[in-house]
Amino acid sequence: MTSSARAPDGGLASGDMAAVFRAHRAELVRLAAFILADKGAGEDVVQDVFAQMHARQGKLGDRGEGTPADLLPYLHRAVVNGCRSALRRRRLIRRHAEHDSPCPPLSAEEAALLSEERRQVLAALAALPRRRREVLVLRFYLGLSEAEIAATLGISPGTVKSTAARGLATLADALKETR
Amino acid sequence: MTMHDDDLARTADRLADALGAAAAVMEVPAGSSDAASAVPAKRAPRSWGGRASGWLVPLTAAAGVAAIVLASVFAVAALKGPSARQGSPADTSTSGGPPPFYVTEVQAKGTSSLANVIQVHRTSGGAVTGTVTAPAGWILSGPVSAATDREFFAVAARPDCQASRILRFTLTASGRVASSQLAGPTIKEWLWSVAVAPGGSQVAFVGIPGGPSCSFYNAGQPSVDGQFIGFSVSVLDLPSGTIKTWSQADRSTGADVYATPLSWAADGSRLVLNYKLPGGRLGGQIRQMGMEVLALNTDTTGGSIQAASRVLWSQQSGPCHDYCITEGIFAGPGDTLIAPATPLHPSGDETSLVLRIPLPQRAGAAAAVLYAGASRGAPWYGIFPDPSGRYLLAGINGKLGWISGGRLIPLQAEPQLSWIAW
Repeated sequence: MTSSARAPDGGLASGDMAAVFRAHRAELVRLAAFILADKGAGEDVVQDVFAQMHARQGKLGDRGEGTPADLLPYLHRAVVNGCRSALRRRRLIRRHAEHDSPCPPLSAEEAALLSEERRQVLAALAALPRRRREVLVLRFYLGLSEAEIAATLGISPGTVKSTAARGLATLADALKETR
Repeated sequence: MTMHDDDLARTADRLADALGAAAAVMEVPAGSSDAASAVPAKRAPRSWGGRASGWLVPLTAAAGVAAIVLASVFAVAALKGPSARQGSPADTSTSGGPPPFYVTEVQAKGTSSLANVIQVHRTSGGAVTGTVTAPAGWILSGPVSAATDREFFAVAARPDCQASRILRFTLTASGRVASSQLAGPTIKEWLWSVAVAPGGSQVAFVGIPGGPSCSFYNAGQPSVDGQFIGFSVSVLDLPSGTIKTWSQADRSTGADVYATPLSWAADGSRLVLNYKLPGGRLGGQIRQMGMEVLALNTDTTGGSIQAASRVLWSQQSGPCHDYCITEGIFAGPGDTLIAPATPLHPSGDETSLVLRIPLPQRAGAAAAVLYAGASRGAPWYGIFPDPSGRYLLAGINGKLGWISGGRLIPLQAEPQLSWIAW
């Protein structure tokens, strides 16, 4: 990264922010959608993250997120935290029309493009406890290593390993029951 | 209950597969690239049963401006009465962007021409994020096709090209190769064209006998105007390993199935193939190739291609009028044919054009999605839709890129490129 990519005050330039937005927005929305089992809420979370990032422009860098390359782990953390906030809000406000698809977070039209087996896997994932779902999505959607997941969630690599194993075991049991 | 490691590994594979497939079909509406414009002045509370998306207003306005700009660019390239339909191929205004990765099959450095490797490239910037090599005893010398933006199928052939198998590989979200393994039975042919059906459980192929040194020419394989042809098309069902084959009803007519290209309708119900009728170029004059584009109903049990197909496009051999269609590929939501074509430039040069043709034939005017200029003998690789059919990868006139707003956005690849897909 060249120095010209930095704002005069040492923060990220707005061009970098726009580039990060373009490059990673869809992936981050899908990450949030898988964790929340709700694509619309996932879009909201990502938009909030970018809005907050824009508000902090110029201050980014004081916690190791000062270059576009550094931003991605920061964004993963921010999106996961945003999802946790959204889940807390969801507990307070029970939404009547929660989903119109048998396969959250996909719409009915999108779900129709998937095989029944894949829909069952996604439904079983959506039913997992929040921490297990976070770990499995970070591991098997984003392809992060145990160390990267640990850094993203603020837990130890050992906890990542055990949480992933428990999550997979629960998934395997759930999928056996649906056969 | 004790869970075995095998169970966990299988569940992990199923989860990665389901997440990759779901990500591929999940539409993410385009967002503004200007974060400032997306900041809500004051966020409205959520309503019960619906999302309150105040921030969507400036986004929608920005997207509207972008759509107008794109439509203006597109209109310049229109051939006849173009329509900037939403969701049409090569239209970037309605979905979350092109696939994050594309794959190229290239000759491995310092090896023979048969030792290909597959390189995974990030669409943004072209960096190589992963490499796939052939399993022991096999070579990569065939086409690649994408089932989702994280799941690809390639052809592995025996070194004598007398038999082939499907090589399935998957990617992580960062583009690393997550898994790579042979799938399905051994097929006693050299697979020259493959197309994976949406969902990834079926692979259509045209196979031909492999000649000595894996050479078509040594095999005496017939070709028309540089395109190799086969006599049948098959569909392999990967879970069961069964193969259904449809063949030309009467070879004496001189009509044959082109070896390329094959494509699937987005709903996986029909396989689209190109069928050559007698006729072609004569005396250097550009003449329209007699050809048909057929939609094969793959629910039939096999047998005659003609009996199981309906004609999507038909043209007789003869002089070109506005343009000559050279092949047809199903792409995009609804029935849309993407067709490379060759109009004659006023300078006398043969130029390249990519058309979008609404179906049924004559239902509406063809519209150009790309003018690629004079070919001047540069290599032509073809047009490759992504699994959604919305984004078109093009290897045209020696240039590689994807089509957006009437332009070819360049993509990186090694010079010794054999195949591309996304």
